[in-house]
Amino acid sequence: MSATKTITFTLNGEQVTAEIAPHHNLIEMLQNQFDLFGARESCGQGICGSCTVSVNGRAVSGCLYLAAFADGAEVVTVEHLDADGKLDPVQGAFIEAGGFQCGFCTPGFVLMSKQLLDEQSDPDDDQIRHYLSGNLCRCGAYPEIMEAVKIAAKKRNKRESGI
Amino acid sequence: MLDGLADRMNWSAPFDRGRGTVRRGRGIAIGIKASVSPTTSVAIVYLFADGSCNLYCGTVDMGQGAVTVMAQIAGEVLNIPAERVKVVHPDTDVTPYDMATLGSRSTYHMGHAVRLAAEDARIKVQALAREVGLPEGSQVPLAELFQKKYKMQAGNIVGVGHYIPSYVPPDASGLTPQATPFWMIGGAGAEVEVDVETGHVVVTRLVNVADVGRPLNPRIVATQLSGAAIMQLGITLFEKMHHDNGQVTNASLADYKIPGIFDIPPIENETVEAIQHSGPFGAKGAGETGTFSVSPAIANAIHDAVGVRITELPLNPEAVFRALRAKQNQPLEDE
Ligand code: FES
Ligand code: FES
Repeated sequence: MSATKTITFTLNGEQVTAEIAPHHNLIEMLQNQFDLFGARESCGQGICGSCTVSVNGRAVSGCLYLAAFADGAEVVTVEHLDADGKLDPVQGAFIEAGGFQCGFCTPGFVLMSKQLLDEQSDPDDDQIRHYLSGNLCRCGAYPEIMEAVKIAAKKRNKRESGI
Repeated sequence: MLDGLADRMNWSAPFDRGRGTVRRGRGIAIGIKASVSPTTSVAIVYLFADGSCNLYCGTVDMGQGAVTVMAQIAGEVLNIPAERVKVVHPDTDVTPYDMATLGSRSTYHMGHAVRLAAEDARIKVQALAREVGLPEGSQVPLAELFQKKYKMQAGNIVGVGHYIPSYVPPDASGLTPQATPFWMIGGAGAEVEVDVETGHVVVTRLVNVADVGRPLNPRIVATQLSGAAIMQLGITLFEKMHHDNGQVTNASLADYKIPGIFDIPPIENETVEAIQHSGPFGAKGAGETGTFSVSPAIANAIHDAVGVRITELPLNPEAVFRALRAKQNQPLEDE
């Protein structure tokens, strides 16, 4: 048995504690201890982005991020985006554009798109591509995903300007 | 289909052939494939006392949208909105037999089974209406029919449908008049830039034209065609499995490159107007159709650009560069 460690952090707005081994990554912890399966490990090498989780406001690859680093941090997963009972505009836009087939990659794309739009309210095609180049979609839903990000940008900008 | 391709590709307009080390070319291709045969699908429609509807079908929805389309078919026959049909996912405890979800067969085979199951249920609903004394064609909601019969919210109706296509096995000479319930026909057009110094190919435009019969859900079909073509684009340009004594040596996304968002050319998808008269509501399979012609269309475009004919995938820079050197009578030595 490897030594375990207790960590405390905020998970989707709630203060939580977890028992973790030093080698556990964020995904293992989220799935095994919190039943959160939105972030999924696929490549396990930091290449595909399907394991994306937000830590202290930055998207990280949960497969490469040691759970121990989450101690004291603010962790948000895709499950939190509709916490107020409404889908996040990015989620709504993915549905509107049909930005997926199997959906395996979708939580990662949604979180990355959200972070992009937080930084850049009206990105052009090149900026979108650049930002999402670390996310892979085996179903090839990229054209629809591009569309979704643009729809999401419009939705968010509308909301912001209060129209 | 050829007309559709030629139109979209502006085939008769002058074409920029590129200059210097970057040469441009374009190509089209058409592919035809049979659906796997003979196979069977079975479906069950279950109508509950409150009028709700479950559909038990073994088709696996892996993102192609089968659940939506099966619900549409059942809803159409039963005259209820598709979203009121609850599709029960494959589970050998409850869902009836289906051969498999493959070979672009589900919309056609399972679609028929679902249609027949829903028709069976509809006939039973009509019988129930007669039984409780309602005139032909009365549109009394199902829950009320059950209420009238059982004097409480009770009862159920089960409709079963199965589909076995007609199929004639090939004779001794390998011929058959009925090899498959339907043929899939898919065409693609590509424009490419080839860097003659490096062998690098950039696809600058990809057009898919498909005959899917009548698309039951045009939006889903377009996404399916596009996704299929993008997967084929990866197989065409760079995906290659390496083996060492039967062991795959590049089994990771770091070593086996699949298309990322920068690899996607502007892509157009079109379905030609067609009806598959033997299919459910005129439809047939669309799963593989988008894959047939991407590789040959790109290979043709490379040929058009730089005059080399490559017949093996992937068309990666090494393959193209080797072919270019061979054409100049300066073949590269094998490692
Ligand atoms: S699983 Fe983490 S990047 Fe692929
Ligand atoms: S939707 Fe299937 S991998 Fe992206």
